Amino acid sequence: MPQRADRAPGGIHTLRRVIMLLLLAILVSVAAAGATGLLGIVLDPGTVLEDNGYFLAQSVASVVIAAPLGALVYWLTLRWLARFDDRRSVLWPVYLAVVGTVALLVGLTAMLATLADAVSGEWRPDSFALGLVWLAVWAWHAWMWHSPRHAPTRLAAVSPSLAVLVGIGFAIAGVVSALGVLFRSALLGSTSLLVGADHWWMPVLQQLVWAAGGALVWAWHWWGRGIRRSSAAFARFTLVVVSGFLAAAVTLGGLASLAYCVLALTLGVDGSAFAMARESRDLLDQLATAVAAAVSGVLVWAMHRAAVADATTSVRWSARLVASGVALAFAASGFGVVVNAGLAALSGSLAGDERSLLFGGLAALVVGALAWVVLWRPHDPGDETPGESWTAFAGRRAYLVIVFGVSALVAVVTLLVIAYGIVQSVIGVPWSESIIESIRQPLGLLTATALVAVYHFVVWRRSAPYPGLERAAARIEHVTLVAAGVTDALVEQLRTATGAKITVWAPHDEYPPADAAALVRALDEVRGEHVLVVTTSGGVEVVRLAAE
Amino acid sequence: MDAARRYDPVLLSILGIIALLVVLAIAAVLLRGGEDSLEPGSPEGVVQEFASAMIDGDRERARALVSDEAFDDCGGFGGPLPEPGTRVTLRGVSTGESSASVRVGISTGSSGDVFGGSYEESGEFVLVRDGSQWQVSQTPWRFDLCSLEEVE
Repeated sequence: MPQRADRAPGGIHTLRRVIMLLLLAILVSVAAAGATGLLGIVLDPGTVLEDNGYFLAQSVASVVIAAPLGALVYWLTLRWLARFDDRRSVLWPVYLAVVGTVALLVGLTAMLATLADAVSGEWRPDSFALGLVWLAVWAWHAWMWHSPRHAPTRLAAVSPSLAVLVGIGFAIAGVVSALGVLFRSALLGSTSLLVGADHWWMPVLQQLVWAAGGALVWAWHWWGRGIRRSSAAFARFTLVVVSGFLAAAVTLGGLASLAYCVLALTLGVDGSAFAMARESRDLLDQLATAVAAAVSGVLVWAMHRAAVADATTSVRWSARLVASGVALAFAASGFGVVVNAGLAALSGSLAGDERSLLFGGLAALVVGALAWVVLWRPHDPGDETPGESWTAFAGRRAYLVIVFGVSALVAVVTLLVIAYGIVQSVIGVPWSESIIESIRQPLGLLTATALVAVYHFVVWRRSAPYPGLERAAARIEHVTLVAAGVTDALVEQLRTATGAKITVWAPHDEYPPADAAALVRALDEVRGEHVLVVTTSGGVEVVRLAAE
Repeated sequence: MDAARRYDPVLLSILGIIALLVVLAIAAVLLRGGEDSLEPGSPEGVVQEFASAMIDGDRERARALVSDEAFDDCGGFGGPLPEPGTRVTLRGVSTGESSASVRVGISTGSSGDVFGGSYEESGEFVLVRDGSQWQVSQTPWRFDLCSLEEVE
């Protein structure tokens, strides 16, 4: 039964762990590089035009030196995991997560590239070797994350959550590309510029390989490793990132690009017939990718909807906040570009016009603004009392402060750039633009960020600050539990039941093991800032502590 | 939940400012936007014709404005035409007896790129006088004239 996560001994041990884990990472990487080289040579007996043995020597040396040393360091690590209780250190899961994720990225990229090329009939042994070796490294680290002897007790769910992000990243890229090629073929006709047996569906199939690989990694960690149901902080953060940020960014990006293409195709970017012909083909190309992106974003959102609905309200509303932030970013930058285009029109040009700039800005502004209104719901009346509604959500205030701060910062930077541009024009630095030309872009950005900052500042001031607003939902602030045999599951149960922060102290003497049901019952009606809970042989004793 | 609270005055005024600026920008682009009219025979006028032709993809019109000696340094390979959304602004002209230099600013990109990422650079067109006409002799790399060599 794993002990509750406490801190591992620090001081000199931290130094030891840092050095050892760095060594292990370096040795693993070198050994993997060498193994890749050797495996590549073995798999590819094909034509070698020139080989002076350098590559072979490098690979052999890497493997011969790094592998035994790596094995030694690993054996030492294993021993010290037990002896010095390194599993409780925070460096161990950091190492596993970092090396594991890097190995996953390198291995997955190489392996998927091999498979995609194999679909079109090419065999790439070096890519395959790279993929195989690094996927093996990843598998080893993933096994270590979960095996009882190695499993870290802190930073729960970090490594599988990062793998979820990697998987979804690859899946999104693959689906967008595959659908993009599909739609492009539909819109432009299947023009094959290459002489050969390439059919139009070959690139679609190749991109689907990437999408399938990413989806497999995502599904394995999401369902198989239980990230979907996990209530660990990083897992919930991952859910917010995926369903709030990624889904919103991809969908809104696609929709904005789509709106731009529609505007440009109907209203025309340039008047002459020559330009229209050239432009139409590029625009239809962009249209295909835009539709693909919008569809993929909606798909990602739909697939995570169930998980978000099952999660706590704070996760749901955090995701909504992040999505409304993305929408705000699109709307603000679109508005900045529109102002930019207007100023450009005022200053005149030698050739070409500002219509493409204007259309791009309008598209982003309209799409972003609509999404922002739907997500942020500014028309909801502000709630003065803290409670469970959207307008009183505690994270919303943090969001307001962040947005105000960031936009104020950007506004200050643009002011500097504007001042620089004006002075440059006035002094007459050679090759410098006229005043309007040099300041139109930062001025557009300044207007947008100034408006954003003002609005969010006003809303923030208006939402009444109550002390302890964030903790209003929790009955108890802090529970110190003195009990034996406390598991992570029990702590989670307590946390869900009371909403408090739980600290566990293990008693020195023999105490009966903690019983979750009894503890929850005992804490049922208790309210207070800090509560001490002791499981004695007579039962559970609850002591409310006085405030400091 | 009274009516005054439902319609937030701050938000409405901000939305009003945004709407006003957007309408002004659209009006500016559609009415005033576009090219300044320059004297057709002047160096900057020739550069304007040439740049417009290149952006439009009209090779014949562009070729007519280039002097024949300009192709001497071409290696037989030409660069691509500039992107359709390219915009050129005039920065300065210096005219001499038989040659003139027109400094321009070139901005590209930002078509559909939501963050308005346009790329700005400066370039120089060098023209030579052929009789009473100015002809393009050297161009910035974005308007590479070597691709016009085969055009009649």
